[in-house]
Amino acid sequence: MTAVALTPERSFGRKVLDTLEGYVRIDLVEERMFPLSTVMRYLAVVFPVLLYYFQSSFLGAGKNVFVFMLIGTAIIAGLQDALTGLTSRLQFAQERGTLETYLVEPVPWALIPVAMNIWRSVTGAVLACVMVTIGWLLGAPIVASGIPLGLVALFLGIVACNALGTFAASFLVLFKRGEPVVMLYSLAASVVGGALFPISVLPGWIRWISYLVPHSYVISAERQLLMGQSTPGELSPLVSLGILAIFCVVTFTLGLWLFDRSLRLARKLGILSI
Amino acid sequence: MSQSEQRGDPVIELSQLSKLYEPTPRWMRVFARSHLTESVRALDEVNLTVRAGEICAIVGPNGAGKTTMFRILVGLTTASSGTARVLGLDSDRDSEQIRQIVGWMPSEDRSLLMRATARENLQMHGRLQGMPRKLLAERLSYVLEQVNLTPQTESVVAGLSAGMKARLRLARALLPGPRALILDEPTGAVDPIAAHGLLELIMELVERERLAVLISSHRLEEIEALQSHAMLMDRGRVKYDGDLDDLRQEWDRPELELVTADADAARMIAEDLRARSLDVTVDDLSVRCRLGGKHRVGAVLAGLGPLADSIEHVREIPMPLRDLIAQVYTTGAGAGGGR
Repeated sequence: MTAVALTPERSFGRKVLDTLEGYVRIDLVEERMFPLSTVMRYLAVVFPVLLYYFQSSFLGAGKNVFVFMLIGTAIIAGLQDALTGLTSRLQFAQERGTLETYLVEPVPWALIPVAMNIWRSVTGAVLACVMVTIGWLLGAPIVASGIPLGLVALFLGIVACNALGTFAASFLVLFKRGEPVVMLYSLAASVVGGALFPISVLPGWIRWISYLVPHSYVISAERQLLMGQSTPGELSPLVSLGILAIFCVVTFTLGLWLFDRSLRLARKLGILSI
Repeated sequence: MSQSEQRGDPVIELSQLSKLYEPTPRWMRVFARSHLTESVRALDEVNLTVRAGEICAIVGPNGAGKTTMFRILVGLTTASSGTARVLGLDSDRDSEQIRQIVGWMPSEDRSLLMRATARENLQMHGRLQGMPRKLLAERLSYVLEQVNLTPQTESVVAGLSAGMKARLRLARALLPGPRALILDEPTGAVDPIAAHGLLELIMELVERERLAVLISSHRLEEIEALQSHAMLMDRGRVKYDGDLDDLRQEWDRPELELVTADADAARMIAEDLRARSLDVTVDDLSVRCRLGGKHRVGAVLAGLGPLADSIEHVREIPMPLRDLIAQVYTTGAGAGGGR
């Protein structure tokens, strides 16, 4: 077998699929490397659900408060991986020395952030669904007809958070630290996104920040869709979905462009792996 | 067949390649300290051609520019000026295509997924290379067989020896059927016997698959064993570029050892040689002097006259490659050589 031109020419679409498959394969291998930690990750989501279930029972707040807090917490947990997964993976690869191995593969660098975080994003979404399902099993009133659009809102939220994660990853490529930025954003998002309360209770000068984070649109839409009731002063689910879609297109395009530029600058300066 | 055809077509071509690492711009220093305080010229107008079926050994101390050259070729950094081409593709413009035809073997084991098996490591690489499943399965078995790792196909990498990990890194570089190989200190953590085996394997592959190979190593005995084209570098500049045989012919100053029957004869011979401005050491019955310039073995012996009768044994000791290279560095030779 000779070593000449073994790999056929690929279309861009083929490259995208190969890259996604390659990185998902890495993630699956890593999940299999540490099976117990994978199981524990899924088990861990049971506890916040139980916490809010018993807290709402103790306070006599009723099932509506339980489901209100459950949805907010599930969305924050589900979007967490989409937001932070890329920077933690990238930093891990940078410190472990595998980043260069990924970068010398013949795939467009702009695809790397998408591919690198796809598995964590999907499992994050599954975790959010598992949390809501456990809540439903505990008696939380979930409106089944809201589930399809609820999944669309979750998907858009994940895409938007991936785009924001790409901004942090660009920062990481150049400055070697991206996690403080993304952690700060993540903590702030759980407050201004209204995970445990409606954003209408926030003072006006803070509330405008809520409109800049995708979490608030996803949480608001999910609550209205899954609880089957609209909250006064909140945007309708369809408007939230529309804003999320625009947010995704703008931030994703900008995020990928910025990531590509950061890699190019790091490449020119010779700081990709130091 | 012309000499050029015998040696193969040019695969890797560097032309006036320079790289200047500069401190990070001021605005970036707000977020992270610059890794450099002043500009560093890592490569200075380097020219090189490596043909199909040829090995080129890049030799030089730390900071000579070897890794920078390799990183430019695989697209991990860019040249400040000049060009680096692989099969006519420009390393800056066509970096993605170059990464498709160049197999890169980094110096560290860390580039492997340690908890994954040898097969999983290769499969992941093959998919990112865009290899169709059937071809990947065939090629995976083939390269593992080539590097004698078939029994370790399902072994977790963390459990392999340093030599096996090095062979796995080589297998990964070979998997997609590259036209050129870039081997950055391939025998770094490998014991001498395993290193010898690895180099023999590389030489065999080069011969069989007509690969163009760039290799760096700190082990000079390995470079010598490769019998390859060598480029000696120092602080980004080329000190010598050519065959090791030519280097030896040009720079070698062998040592002449004369073993005498008695110590008095040895002492007298030493005095005679010193009188002829030769650098001489005496150790009991043995006299050693460094040849070179007008001093050839025959001339030295003839000049001894009747003293030569007391010599029982004569030996010419070639200069170790380490000393030969050190001499090239200290005498500050330019980019001369056999090319």
